[in-house]
Order: sequence, then structure tokens, then C-alpha cells
Amino acid sequence: MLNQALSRGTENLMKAFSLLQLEMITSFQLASLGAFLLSFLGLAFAYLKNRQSSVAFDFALLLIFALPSVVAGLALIRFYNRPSLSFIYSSPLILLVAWVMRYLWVSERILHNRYMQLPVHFEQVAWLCGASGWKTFQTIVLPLLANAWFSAFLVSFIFCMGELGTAIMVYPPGTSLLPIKIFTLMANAPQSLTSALCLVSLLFTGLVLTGWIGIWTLIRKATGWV
Amino acid sequence: MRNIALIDITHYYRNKKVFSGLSLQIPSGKLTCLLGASGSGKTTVLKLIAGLEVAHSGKVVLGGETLTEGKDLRVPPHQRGVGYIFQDLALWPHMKVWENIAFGLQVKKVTDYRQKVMTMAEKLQIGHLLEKYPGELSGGQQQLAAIARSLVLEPKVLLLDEPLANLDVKLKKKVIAQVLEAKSAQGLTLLYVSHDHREAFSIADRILVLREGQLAAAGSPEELRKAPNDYLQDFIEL
Repeated sequence: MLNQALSRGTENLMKAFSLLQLEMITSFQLASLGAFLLSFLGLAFAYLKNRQSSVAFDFALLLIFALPSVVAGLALIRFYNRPSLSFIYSSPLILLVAWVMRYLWVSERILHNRYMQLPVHFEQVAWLCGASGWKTFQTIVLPLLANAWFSAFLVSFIFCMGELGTAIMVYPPGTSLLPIKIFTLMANAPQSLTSALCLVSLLFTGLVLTGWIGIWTLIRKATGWV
Repeated sequence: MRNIALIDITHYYRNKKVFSGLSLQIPSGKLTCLLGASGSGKTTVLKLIAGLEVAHSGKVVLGGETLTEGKDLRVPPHQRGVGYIFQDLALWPHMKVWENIAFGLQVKKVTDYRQKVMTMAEKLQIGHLLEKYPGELSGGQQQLAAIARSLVLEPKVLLLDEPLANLDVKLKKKVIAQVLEAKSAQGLTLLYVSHDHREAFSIADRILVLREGQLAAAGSPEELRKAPNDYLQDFIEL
């Protein structure tokens, strides 16, 4: 890929960059939003699951995660393609719905597994001190789950950035994402340009991930979260 | 007076009967040791008193006040004036020692909490450790920090669930001395769970022995030494 992308110096890279500029911004914005949604919902479901174990709910999430992307896309079209839900179906919201539906199991699992490792005594001591459920969650549970939350966020971000199968079936007019654009262009573009498009996409995702990790490191230092 | 009484307690854990009509008394201002083999229900007794578990039937009474009757939780855990030190100590790893100790005071909106934290830390000789995280402390220092976190709330009853199990003898003596000093100073009622009968007989004012959810023996160390029953003889090899 690297050889092909650089076969004409940086010309292909520059061209790929200019072709993908808009999609990089859109993908970054939507994938970040999707990752925030997924990690917060994952946190909420992990906490609730620890309180009230529901095998059926967990299995349903796993089943949706295991669905082939095309089937998930068809299900979304069938459900949301109606006048009353057009505000979702004809806007980027449909992409967020698709990602949350598909990847909630992953973020919930990451957070639930970490939560299971926290001794229940941590919360019991707080209750004995008179802390409310919210105060206990906020001051004891949340800081101890913070790293797992960030892992869930990163994994969700990567999934959302790279998702093609469902997104290509439901993306609304005027909203194009990185994988969709590359998939569309590769049909007619020379191999060297396709490689350059992939390389730019890869570098961009890597750069954003590095940025997130840097921000997280600063937050951790400032808050003392473990 | 902060006598504790468990009256006719029946309790199940995951459909397994733990207690069937258990009754026992814990006298006020004394150190009572709860002895028993693993699975005899020692920790469950502490949790019932603290309100972290509720019995299926029976009463838990503290200082004449009924805390729970059957499944009816009349007094919530934080209003019972009970401190609890867990076997794993449960110090919050993301908080410094002073934050661990101050947490309960801050929750109760005590204005001079800093002063109280300092006083308690000095009393337990851990004043120099306040800015450290629990992970940076030795085992003994962690025990003292956990004790400080409980005592700073001035409980009337302190429940200790084998908190010294992992300490060497020298440290154990030091921590026990601190606990006994607090007992005298604050008039604490102490309930100390242990499976080490030598430790129990050396520090306790009164000993209760549990066997498979039943009270197998009760009395002062002298009384039990003089008239041990068969189980006690077998359990502690008197």
C-alpha cells in the first residue's frame, strides 16, 4: 500500500487528502459523537446490569452485534424509513442509531468486566458513610471505571470510523463518510490513488487516536483518576 | 448503652440457609470476638448489624432500637452509628489517605473536617501519610488508615471483619493496641471477627463461637477456658 501510494511521490497523497477533506471532518465529528454515546450508554448499562442482571438483554445486544452489517442496514431501513421517523432517517442521526445498535454490546462488555473487578466493599463503605447512590457512583465508581470508559470510547471510535457495511445502506444525502468515499472512488480510481486514499484514512485515524490518548493522559493527570 | 442483639434470625444466602433462629447478644463498651470456621456465618452477622444485608426473619436491635424486623429495614446503614472495617480494608485507591478519611465527614457536611482528619491521623500516628495514596502504604499503614476512616465518624459500634489477618505479629499488636485505645477513649462497642482463637482469647472481653450458623459457645475467655464444650475443645484445641 505504501509503495503504491508513494509511487508518484507525494502527488497521490495530496490528491487523496484533497478528495477526503470533507469526509475526514464529517467522519471525525460523527464517530466522536457515536463513541461518546456508545461509551456513556455502555457505562449506564454496565452499572444497571450489575444491579439487575438481565441475561435476555445481554443476549439481545450480542445478537445485534453478531448480525451481518447488511442485515442490520436492512432492519434500520425497514424500521426508520417512514414519514414519522424521517427526522432520523434523513439525517446523520440514522448513522448514530446504526452504530449504537451494532456496537453497544462491545462498550457495555468492556465496562461491565471492569466493574465486576471492583470490590463491592468500595461502595458499601461509601453507603455506611452516608453517601447517596449518585454520590457513590460519582466519587467512587466513576473514577475507578474511568480508564475502562476511555477504552470503550476508543474502541467505539475505531469501530465507528471504519464501519462501512451498514453505513453505506443508510447514510443520508449530503453526508459522506471516509470508508464510503474510499469505497465509491476505488471503483474508477487507479490503484495508486486507492492506496493513497487508504493511507490517508489510516494516518488520519491514527492521528486522531493519538490526540484522544493525549487528551486523556492530561485529564488523568489533572484528576488523579486511576 | 449500645448493646447489640440478634433475635431469632433466619437468613438465606442464594437459597442456602445460613442462620436458623440464631440469637446472640453483644455487650456495650466491650470487645467481643466472633470466632468460627469458614462459612460459619461470621461475616453475615456483621453485615446484618451494619444493614448491608437484611435477614429473612428475626430482629436486629442496637441500644434498644430495632434496626430491622424481618425484611423491614427501619434504620438505614448510615444512621446506625456503625463503623465497618472490611477484611480487604476497601480503601479507595484513587483517593489520597486524607481524602479517604475525610470522605464521610464531607458527606455529613462537617465544617471542621480537616481538623478532625488531622487529629485522628495524629492519634493513629499516620499524620505523615495523609498525602499518599493507599497503594503507597505498607499493610500495617493501610490498616491504620482504614481504622482512622471509620473512627473519625465517631461510631458507637465498630465492626471488624478479620482486618488483621494479613499482618505480622508485631504490626498486629500495634494495630490492636490502637483499636483498644480507641475503645476506651470513645466507649466503643467492638465486634471483632476472627478465625484465630489465640488472638481472640488474648484480646476479647467476651467470645462468641459460631458453628454452621448456630451459636456453639458464648462467654468470657476465662469461662470458656474453664468449661469448654466438645465443639470448642475440638475447634480451638484447648
